[in-house]
Amino acid sequence: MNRATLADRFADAQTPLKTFVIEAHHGGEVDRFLTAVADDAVVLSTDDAYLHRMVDGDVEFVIDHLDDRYWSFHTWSPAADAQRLLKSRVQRRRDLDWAWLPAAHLSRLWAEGQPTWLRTEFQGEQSLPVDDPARRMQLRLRGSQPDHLLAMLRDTPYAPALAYDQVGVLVEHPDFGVVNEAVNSMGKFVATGDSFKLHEELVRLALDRYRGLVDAVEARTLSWSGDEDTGLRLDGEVIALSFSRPVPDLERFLDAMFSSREPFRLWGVPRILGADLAAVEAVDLHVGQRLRLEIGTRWLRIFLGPGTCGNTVARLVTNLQHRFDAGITFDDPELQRHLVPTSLTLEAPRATTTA
Amino acid sequence: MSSPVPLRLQVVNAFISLCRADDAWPSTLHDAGYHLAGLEIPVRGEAGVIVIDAVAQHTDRDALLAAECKSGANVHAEQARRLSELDAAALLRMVAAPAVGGAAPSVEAVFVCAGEHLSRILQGLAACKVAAPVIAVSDQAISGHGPAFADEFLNAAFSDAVPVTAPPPAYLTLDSESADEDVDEHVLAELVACMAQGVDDLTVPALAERVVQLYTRLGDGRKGVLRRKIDASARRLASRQPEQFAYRPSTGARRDPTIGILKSPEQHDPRGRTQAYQALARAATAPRSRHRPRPEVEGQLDLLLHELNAGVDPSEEEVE
Repeated sequence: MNRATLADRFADAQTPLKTFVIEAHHGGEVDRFLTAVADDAVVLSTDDAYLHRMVDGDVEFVIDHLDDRYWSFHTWSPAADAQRLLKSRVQRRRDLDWAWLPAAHLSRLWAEGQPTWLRTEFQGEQSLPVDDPARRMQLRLRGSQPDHLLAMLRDTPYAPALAYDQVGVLVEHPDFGVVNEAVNSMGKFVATGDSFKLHEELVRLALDRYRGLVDAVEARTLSWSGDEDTGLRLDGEVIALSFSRPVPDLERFLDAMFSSREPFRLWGVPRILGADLAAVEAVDLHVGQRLRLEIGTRWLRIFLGPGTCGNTVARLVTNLQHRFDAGITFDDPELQRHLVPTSLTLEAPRATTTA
Repeated sequence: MSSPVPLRLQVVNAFISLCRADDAWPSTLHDAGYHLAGLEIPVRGEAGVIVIDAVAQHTDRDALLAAECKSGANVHAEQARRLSELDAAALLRMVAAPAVGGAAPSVEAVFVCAGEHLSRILQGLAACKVAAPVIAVSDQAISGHGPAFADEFLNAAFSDAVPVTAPPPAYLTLDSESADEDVDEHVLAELVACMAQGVDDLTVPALAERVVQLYTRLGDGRKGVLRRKIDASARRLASRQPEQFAYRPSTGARRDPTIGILKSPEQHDPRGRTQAYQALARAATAPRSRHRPRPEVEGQLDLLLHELNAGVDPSEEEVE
């Protein structure tokens, strides 16, 4: 098996290809990591050094680890079975995590694609009062201009609940071919069409944008240098976020955020300092790293220590978009540009190696 | 002044934040050309060593601000006089950033205090005949007081109060004077992080390094005080939750005391794991627990819609 085989199978398949993008911290030991991740499943090498097959019962994945950090798990097996198997691995391993695509990464997926589908998803029951007009909201729109309909809700009380959760797009490119692609906010891509290369390219472009956000976050981790003899110095930045609406009940909001449950998976004992201020020495249970958060009714600050994974912030922000405020913004203009990037444009394909 | 950290740390955090380009708080000193050159900088003078709480250095010239961060209302006359008589060259030698050259180095003393103590600080400085500007930090604003700064840009920067809507970011959260409950909060969080990482045993010095990022950079004196505080905290947590943690004192065979994690939520399946982590948080929050309305059962509507739409639109299920 190699990429050409995958391309042929993609073009011939009767069922859609599912590609799950998973962040993998393999520590430089890919083979050992693959074996550990597979657990009871069988791992097989292929003609391509960066492609491995993982067979778990009736489910087969082709793992593409050409991207060192964000691995693609391709499968034509039933979506529910594949999802279940990967979910169990991501849940129990600190070195695996989903790619938590922020809402704007989905809304501006591909400039030249033809939108086919859009879903917004908002679950604010845990953090918003009963009388909030959009406490629980889901919109499903089919058609070629779903954005235009959503735009009509931008200046209404429903705006903070308009968080893109799934999008569909039909992309035709004269050099690549055609793919009909659906993507969700956890980095799951489902595709049919005649060009596996185009599908790969779209995944790669979306991931590059996500990587930009994660890298920018990691570039801001706080670290001290020097010592008491020469003076102590501080590098890095506090990551500051602003809400587009005030937190109506801070204690309720904190209970939801630090419940140790999915999707935030944050442990913490918030110290509430009045009606509009709280501080938490929290733990990201997914990666087992400590981080400090300070929370006001209009803002949130994140203090990341050295070596903290930027995915922690991506997961937090993406989930806040779906649980409290789709309009959350970074105060740092550069981080904000990574959160709300411009639309992607496909370049012409590089030289093909298809056999 | 409401604050997530004690006042003495809040005032230092305020000065640090004023020197930085973080978006979380005003960057008044940074915008006037200054950056943080160091904390706790020792300078030897004729009267002995003085440790300066924080020093800011101008980016384009060798102008330094030596800050005394006051958590209380008292001015120590001798300390204030020595700060105001600092030798710029001696201080410049102690900061890490390279000197720019050109004009002769200069240093200006500045006092940073909580707004509620401003008048006492101004009186104290006047009483000991020290002419130095004061930056006051309150819940509403940052403001300059007392004599003018030697640097005109700083006078312009503080000509009007700079409004704030939040306390300064807490870059420093623990020090050798921290209260037991503050230390326990940090130690428990670190032990929970250890649980999530599968660490089941660590020495107290190793715990101290993980709890206080600055620990390894401190001198032996302060390191020792912090280590003892963290050691005491580990003992408290182990005695409060003996089924969870075990404190083992140092012995002839064991150089450092250790804290062991006897029971970890990671030993459970995913559902049990979440409940065990929640129980750990509840144990720490018992005094502030209160009745809350029961939230809606999530997913009820989804269940209805799933049943309603079963088989209608299978393509949508692919990405759910």
